[in-house]
Amino acid sequence: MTSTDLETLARWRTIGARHSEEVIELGLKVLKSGRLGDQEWALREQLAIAALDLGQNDLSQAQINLLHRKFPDSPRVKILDGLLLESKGKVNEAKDVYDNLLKIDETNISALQRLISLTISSSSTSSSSAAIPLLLKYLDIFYSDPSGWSLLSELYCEQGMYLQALDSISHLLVIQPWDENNVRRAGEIAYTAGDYQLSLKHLLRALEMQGDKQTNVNPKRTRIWWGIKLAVSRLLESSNLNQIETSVPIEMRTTEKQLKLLDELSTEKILQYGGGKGINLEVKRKVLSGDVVVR
Amino acid sequence: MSKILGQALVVVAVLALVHAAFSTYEHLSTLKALSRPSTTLPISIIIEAIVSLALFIPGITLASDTLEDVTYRGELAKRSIDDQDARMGFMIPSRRGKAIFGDQ
Repeated sequence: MTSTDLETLARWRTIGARHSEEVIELGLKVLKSGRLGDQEWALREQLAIAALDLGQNDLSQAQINLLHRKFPDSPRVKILDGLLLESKGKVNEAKDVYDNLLKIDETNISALQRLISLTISSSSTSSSSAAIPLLLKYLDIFYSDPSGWSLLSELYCEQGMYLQALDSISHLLVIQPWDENNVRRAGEIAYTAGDYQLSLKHLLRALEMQGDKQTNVNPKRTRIWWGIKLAVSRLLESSNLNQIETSVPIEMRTTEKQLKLLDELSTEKILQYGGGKGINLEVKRKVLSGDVVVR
Repeated sequence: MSKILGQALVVVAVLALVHAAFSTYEHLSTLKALSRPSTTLPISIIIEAIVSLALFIPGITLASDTLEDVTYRGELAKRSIDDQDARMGFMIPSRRGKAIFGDQ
């Protein structure tokens, strides 16, 4: 699919992708060419964020000044002021900006989000544990924010609280039931927590969501297959399957026969889709056959 | 190639339809001038309009772009790992960006 630079930038804005370096490159090119129409201001905002992300403060400041002139007193532009201060390392001043915004409107979602990320970025060691209560309070009010749940799950993972991380991922699954990556993440967290049966269930579900031969648009993705391979080999390692601790009820667990078949299938698929050539293929074969033990 | 053919078919079909409409107008105004009002059209005009439709349908099918996959599955398959779940609202400005891409 070919698309113009303007369309690429618009797509990144819609799906919320970062790509700061490319945004600056394409954004400046598009701004120079002129034909922007009503997208100009959204593009300038995108460019300002990308520039401050890369520490190009002059460029960012120029865009923000233009936006201020066009939209005086806009809370959305004031968030950019705060972001620029954050990028310069002036944490307290940035915090004042957000606090002032919340004084005007206490439901300003962006300001609340910024205060939480400020807590994560500013304090050094216990950063995530300080941010979790704030984030929980925020999610209590704005339940339907998927990025909030995603962040919460990541923060819990950093603390080693995998069950809580699984719990927040399950909220994410309720909000975005179509996203197979969240299901895969749930599987990976369950694997890390040591619940291999549950992990396998999640990973197989994610695989199902990617589609079969006809409907899977991009069959080169093997991350889920690797996850399945790992979970299955962990389960096969143990002598008695029923002794492994898991939250999956006994009648729903994967049996040893199914596990062996899954083991063969995942090996086959990984070699078929992500096989590579020459030495890559050899290394993969060795890892998959268990000659090289990865611990 | 088929796209150009399709576009040509669409142009021909539109011209035929416009011609049929114009012929109808001419025909009716002539009859009116002769004060012989009529409710039917000559068979040739009707055939022209139907032929125009018959050309238009395959033409526009050939001329249009390939269909986009609008399912969530198709959309997610296109996204790279960086595009998924970037959490821009909670973004933390890069600390190392300044050293590599910064102003100085």
